[in-house]
Amino acid sequence: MTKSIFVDTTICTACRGCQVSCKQWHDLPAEKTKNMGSHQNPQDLSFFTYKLVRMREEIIDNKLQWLFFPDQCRHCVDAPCLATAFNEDAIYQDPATGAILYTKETQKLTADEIIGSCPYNIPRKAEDGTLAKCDMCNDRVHNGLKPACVTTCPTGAMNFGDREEMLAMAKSRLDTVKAKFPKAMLLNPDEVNVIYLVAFDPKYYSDYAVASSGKGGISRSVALRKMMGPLAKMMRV
Amino acid sequence: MAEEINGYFLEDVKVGETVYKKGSLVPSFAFLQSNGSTSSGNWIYCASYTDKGNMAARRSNKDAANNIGLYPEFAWAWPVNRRIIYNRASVDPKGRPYDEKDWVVKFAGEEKDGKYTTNKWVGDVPDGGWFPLQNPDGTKREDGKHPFIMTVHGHGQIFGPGLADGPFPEHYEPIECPVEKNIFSSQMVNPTAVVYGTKADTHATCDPRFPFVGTTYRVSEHWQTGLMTRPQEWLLELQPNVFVEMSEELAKLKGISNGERVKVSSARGALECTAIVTKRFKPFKIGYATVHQVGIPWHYGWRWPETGTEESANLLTPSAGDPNTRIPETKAFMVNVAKL
Repeated sequence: MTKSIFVDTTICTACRGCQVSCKQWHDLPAEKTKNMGSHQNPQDLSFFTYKLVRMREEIIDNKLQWLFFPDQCRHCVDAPCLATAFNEDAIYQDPATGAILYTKETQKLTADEIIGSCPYNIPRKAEDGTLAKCDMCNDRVHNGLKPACVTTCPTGAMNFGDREEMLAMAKSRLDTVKAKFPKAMLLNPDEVNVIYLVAFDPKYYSDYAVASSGKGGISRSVALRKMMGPLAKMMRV
Repeated sequence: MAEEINGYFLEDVKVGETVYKKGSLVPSFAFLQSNGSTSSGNWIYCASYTDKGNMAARRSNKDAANNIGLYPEFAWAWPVNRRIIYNRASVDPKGRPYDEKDWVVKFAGEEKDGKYTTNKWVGDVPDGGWFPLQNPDGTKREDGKHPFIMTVHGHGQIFGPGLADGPFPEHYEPIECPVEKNIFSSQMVNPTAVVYGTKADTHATCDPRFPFVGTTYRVSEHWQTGLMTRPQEWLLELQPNVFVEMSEELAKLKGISNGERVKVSSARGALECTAIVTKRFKPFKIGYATVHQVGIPWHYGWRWPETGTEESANLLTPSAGDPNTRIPETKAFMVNVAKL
């Protein structure tokens, strides 16, 4: 059954336990960072950083808001990166969990094309062109555990379960927080398996909080391949 | 874990007429034994996890009989789910509430010929469920006890024993401050504060060399001096440098840009910090003066990060301490901030 993560940013405190537990589970090295005038660090996602709490200070309706956005792969229901790669040895979807997974074979893809196809600007490349991103801790999930970021979250901002269950939780939380934040919304809930709840216009949180029209999506040739369906797979057009 | 903290009977134990089976949960701290036959992680939590389950996980909205918002079946309070300690101080010597409307506990034992014959309290869990001090006819009872059971005579106290200051809170200015006069009191600073007299203990109140209020605090990524957390690369990645947070107004005043390295100094020392210019800090008014404040975490020091450039905020702070614990005054002192 397809799994989903529900991220309730209204109760995220930016403790960044998720960032550390992600690195710990995946055994990813720390980056040599520098304080650049903000508590956000590293500055961006990278080949070694799959999860990043983005932080912004915004004046919204004359009130200061310190916004936290634990950014990660959305595990799209219909992933443009997967369609663009068109190589299931490199990028595939686990039918059991719905997770979009990258392998070492991504090195053979055109990295910038894959990155460019992502509406949320998530994949990052190594020097040799291999791509990496959040894998929804698919190994943990297959062993009955929740993703490391969800397990470690102390406030309940990160939640994990069956897609229908997470959608129901997201909608119910949205109804609750609307009383306090009338502009609260869920971000692309029908298109992704990592569903964010934000209190304000998503543009305040991150440039790619919602699928942006100017970025990502699939090219015409990819669309054509999709139209042809299984036939295209056989022909490898 | 919660069961462990509550405690188990480690063997069959007979208390009164009841035998408690080995492995069962101890119902309350009064049942804990001094002979090793029971366990408990912490006696005040004994009764928090019983045969009926995790008491702290209860979520009932039903109030107690006194209807004052105690909600005795919502979560659990130590010890023995008592919501208000010393609650028998709310009743007169006969066990009757001083406030009949918003009462906390009251004695509900039976009486005969002006004397209490059975012992029962209602409302909150009584803090020491003895009989009241007097019978209904006003005669003194020998089995009653005053309500403040943790003090020698059972009475409330204004002064705690052995404390050097108090009893009532008073506003004193910090040992270093931006004002010449305490506008709330003729006493400027705490007269019982522990102030050391070495050369390093110089203080600078209303000194133009140190015009800004400094404070120190923690970040969630590091622990205390950071000696245990800075060597941990994943934590250092999140908070790599000692920083000084300041308002946009102060940054403008001093020509400091966000992310720039700056020098923060006090009458006692100086260190280099990365400026975080933030909307979360705002100048404030004291009297007619605008006062700027800056904030620095205290988790940094030598060796990690390996650059060795990140020093401790303790270089800035006064050692003057409070009279009882000598905890130093790290929350309010005077500094200057300047471009390198």
